[in-house]
Amino acid sequence: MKKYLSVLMAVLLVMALSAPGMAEEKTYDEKVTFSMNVIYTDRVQEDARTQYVLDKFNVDIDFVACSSSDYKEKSRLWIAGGDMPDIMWTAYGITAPEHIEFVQSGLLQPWPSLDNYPNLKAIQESIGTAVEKSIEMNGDRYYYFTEGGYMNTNQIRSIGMYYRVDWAKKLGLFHEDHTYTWDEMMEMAIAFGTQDPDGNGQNDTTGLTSIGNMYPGGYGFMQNALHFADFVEQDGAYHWRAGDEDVLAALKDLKYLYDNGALWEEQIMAAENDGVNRMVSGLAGICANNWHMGQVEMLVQGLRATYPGQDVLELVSPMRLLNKDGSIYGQLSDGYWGELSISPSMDEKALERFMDMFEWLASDEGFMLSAIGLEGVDYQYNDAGEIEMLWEKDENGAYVNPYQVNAHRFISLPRLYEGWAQESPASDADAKVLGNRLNDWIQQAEVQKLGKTDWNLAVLTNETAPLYKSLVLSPSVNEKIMELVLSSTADTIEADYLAWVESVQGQIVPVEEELTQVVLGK
Amino acid sequence: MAKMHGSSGRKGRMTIGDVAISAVLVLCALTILYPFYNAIMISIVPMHVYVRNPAILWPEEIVLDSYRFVLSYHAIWSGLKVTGIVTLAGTAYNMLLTVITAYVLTKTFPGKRLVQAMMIIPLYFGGGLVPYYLLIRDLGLIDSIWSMIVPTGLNYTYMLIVMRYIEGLPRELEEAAEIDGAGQVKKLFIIVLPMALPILATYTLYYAVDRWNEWWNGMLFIKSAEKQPLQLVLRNLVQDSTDASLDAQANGMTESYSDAIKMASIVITMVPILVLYPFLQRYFLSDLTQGAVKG
Repeated sequence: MKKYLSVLMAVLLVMALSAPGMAEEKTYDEKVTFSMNVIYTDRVQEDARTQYVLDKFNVDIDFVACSSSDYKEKSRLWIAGGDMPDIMWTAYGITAPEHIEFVQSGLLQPWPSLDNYPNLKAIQESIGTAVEKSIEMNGDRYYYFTEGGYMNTNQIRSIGMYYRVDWAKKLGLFHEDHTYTWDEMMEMAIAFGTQDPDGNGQNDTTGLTSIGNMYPGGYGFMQNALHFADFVEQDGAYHWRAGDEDVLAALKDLKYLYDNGALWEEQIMAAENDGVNRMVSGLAGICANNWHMGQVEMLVQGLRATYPGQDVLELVSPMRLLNKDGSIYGQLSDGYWGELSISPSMDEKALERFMDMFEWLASDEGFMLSAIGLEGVDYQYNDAGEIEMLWEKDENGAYVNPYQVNAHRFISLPRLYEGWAQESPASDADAKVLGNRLNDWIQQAEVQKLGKTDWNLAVLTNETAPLYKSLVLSPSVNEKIMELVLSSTADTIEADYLAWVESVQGQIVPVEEELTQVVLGK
Repeated sequence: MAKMHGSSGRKGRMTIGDVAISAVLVLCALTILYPFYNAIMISIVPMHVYVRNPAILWPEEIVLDSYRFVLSYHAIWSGLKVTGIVTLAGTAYNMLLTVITAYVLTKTFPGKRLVQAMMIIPLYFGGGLVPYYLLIRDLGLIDSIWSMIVPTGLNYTYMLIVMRYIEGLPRELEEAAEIDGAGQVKKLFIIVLPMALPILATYTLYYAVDRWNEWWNGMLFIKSAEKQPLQLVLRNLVQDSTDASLDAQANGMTESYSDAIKMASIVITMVPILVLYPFLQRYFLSDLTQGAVKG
């Protein structure tokens, strides 16, 4: 008996001594190599933070070059040619039927269970069950969603209206709390466009502008006629919203803005940042944008260059803009922009190493790396435990980032949103004031205004695959609105628009019926 | 007024017709030159100056942040190196195939029509993008600079014109060389090519421009960022100029913006061609008459 007890004690002693070793961080003695496509490849490869991660996990990644304009074409070619990178990134542009085809043809490998990767699991679960369900087939997950890029928490998509505070004060339109009703915003836009707010006598200012793809949707349709071009469930069936009363009201408001000189004549042809550039250059009074932190910093730095020596916070502010029903616009977003998939030929060891690396990138430590950089090099903690930046500052007191911003395409890949940029000590102080101001208001968006069309997000659900062909009609609503604002009169625009809605019913009704049958089971 | 021979034939006087023609030509020249000038202007002025007046005639203020950004962008330099290699090697390869094919097709041999048909049919029918990708993959050329050289082969139109030129050369010299025991290869390289130098110089230039502009095969087949050709780098930079400006501004080049970065990229990549063009202009002009006389 004593002998057995001794052996048992020895075993227990050995286990106790080795327990700390088992809890120690994993080491990676053997180098593994795998391939992965990223956009802004050269910036990712040159970034010191990328090298830190590669060294930490002893991996060699063959970064496959692609750009934001050609990744769709290339990813299709790679898959068709059996040449897919081990980890492939895609984004909107690969259609749901294609995704389904890829999975059913065995062209993708299921992701390992995220139960062993709590950081990654938490991020994916934060998107919501509709999307969770949508990326599975036969119980396997085939995609990991990445990069929402929204500055605000809770994945609320909103449209920020930044306006010229000094112009509003000059024209007697300013509100101390920056709160404006929709009608007050419209009148301000008209005043900015017609009353020479910059005082140069040239009548060269625009009242309301935006980034290119926000016209016309962001000019009242998304705010006051949510899902204006979509099919939504209504009274037990799917219904195309384009002809509804609130959409007509938004159309008439847009026509009113146009007829009264609030809009930029070239908005319809504007490229992505042309409208924002007008704001930066002192030629626009109100600018609509999704205003992620990068955009806000660009605005702030641009205004400093245009108005040297002036306080940016006295020049611009976001508006706390109330919709016509008194609510603040906010819409639960898809929460992601891209998705990662795994090649069936990826080596098991390489996959395991990738998952470890990816899990670490999704951790707090990984987050700090992508948000700021390396401790001791880019920041340090003071005695109070606060972060102190070690970056140099420019003449305006803003930190000069030593890294390439777009290298985040790799190191912040697991993440969905950049919310911490609003708090980061690395971000521009004025930009943080403005960004947080808008985000605080966005968080007040009323629950009943939040909603998403679940079936829009279904990447792999078999039942909804045939429905995506119907989405081609949504852009037509925008085009028709833009056309009628230019060509119709204020008295005829509603009738002209409804005539068009009627003319496309032959295409609309079958889609409504299909959605009702497939999604609602009726 | 400048003294010249006018259309009237009288020395020392320009006619109204001469003046009108000159004015039209000057206007055409300005119309062609102005976009280049405007690109340079946009690349060196601050954003608020450009947005207020895109048609800048003279810069009120000059900032060079966009050039600093583009010149510090490593991909531009690696792209220049790759494009240089592709242009030199590709042009030599194209010309070799063109000359050999053109010379052979000036002779009569069994199956000549079939060979010509095999060259003409692909002009009208292709296998499609996926088969093309699979072919290049099976040749082991994926992610190789040779993927931008080998598939280009020869240009049928250029080859046809070279062929016609060779056909127009005096046959007596070839026959004399045959009598002296020269084979086909010797005749081609010692007799024919020296006489065909003008046409060869012209189409060497044309091929060189084609290779210099190569980006499509690079986009399809090149995976490594450092092997991307210059025109592909430029295309990516122009299309992603908004994100590039975020990089530039975050890195302290606060006066750069997307349109300026686009124009700076374009100006920088135009410089090599602009420097070479005055020396090569006469070869372009000579081609206008080559085809007419010999074709």
